[in-house]
Amino acid sequence: MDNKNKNDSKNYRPMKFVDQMERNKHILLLYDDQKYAYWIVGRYFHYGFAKGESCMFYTSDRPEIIEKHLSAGGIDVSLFKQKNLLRIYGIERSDDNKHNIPHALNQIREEYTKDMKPPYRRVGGTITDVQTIDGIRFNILLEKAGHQHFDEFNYSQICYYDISRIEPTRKHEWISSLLRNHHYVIYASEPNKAVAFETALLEQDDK
Amino acid sequence: MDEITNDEDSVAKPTRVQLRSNLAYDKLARYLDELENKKMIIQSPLLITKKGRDFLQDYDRISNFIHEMGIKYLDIPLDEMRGV
Repeated sequence: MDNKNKNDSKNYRPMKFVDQMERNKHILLLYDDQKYAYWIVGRYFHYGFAKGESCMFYTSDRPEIIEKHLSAGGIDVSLFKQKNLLRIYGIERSDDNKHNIPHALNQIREEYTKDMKPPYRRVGGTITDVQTIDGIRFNILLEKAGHQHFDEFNYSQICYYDISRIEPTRKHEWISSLLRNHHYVIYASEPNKAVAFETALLEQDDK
Repeated sequence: MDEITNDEDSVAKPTRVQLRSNLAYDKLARYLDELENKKMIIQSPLLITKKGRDFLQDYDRISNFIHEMGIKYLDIPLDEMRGV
């Protein structure tokens, strides 16, 4: 990251929120520009390493691409991998084998963290298809199942979504459902629009 | 709180804030106490703090986010939603 970008990312509004997030939180990262999403992930991991937490990223992209982005954000990928504090998993691009929800959740929770020291910080998206109604619907079911039992586990997790790729005909409903099944939301957009807050703020208190 | 920052001077006058917010004095006093407890304003003289300004900025951004995403509240009964 060059000096200007470094300075811009330092002043990026949601960064303070990222630093102050409590443990064991399920975080929704909505982005319209990948650059800002990586700023958030980089900061989230950076802060985790500083606290001696184990960080992992699972992705349907090639792990080397993620490594490159994290390195560009100032994270010493080789060092933290060597210390067993960082893992980057490549997951199947096809969603065909992910329809067993308990198995999918178990894989995320146990297999990916095997032999790593808790607490954990994780970033990932299990379901790659968010562009079709069936794909996003299944994705939300998985998020809902994970969120219902989130407190039972010792980790926080960022689930990231490119807003432009989400199925468009009922986008607001999908986003509402995603918000309902996360504790925090980070909107990684241009610096004058980006914001982060607790999703509970969107509940009516005058019912 | 927006009324405090809208005042032309950096120090706001309580009577002007009361007039602009259209609140009874006891209610306004209660809100000002609450905002001071949350360190968003100081009362003598009446001024907004950095935390208060940040909150207002976040409030605007959250409103824009909600508008842009086309969402309302999240506690709408599930049967009213076609999503999950």
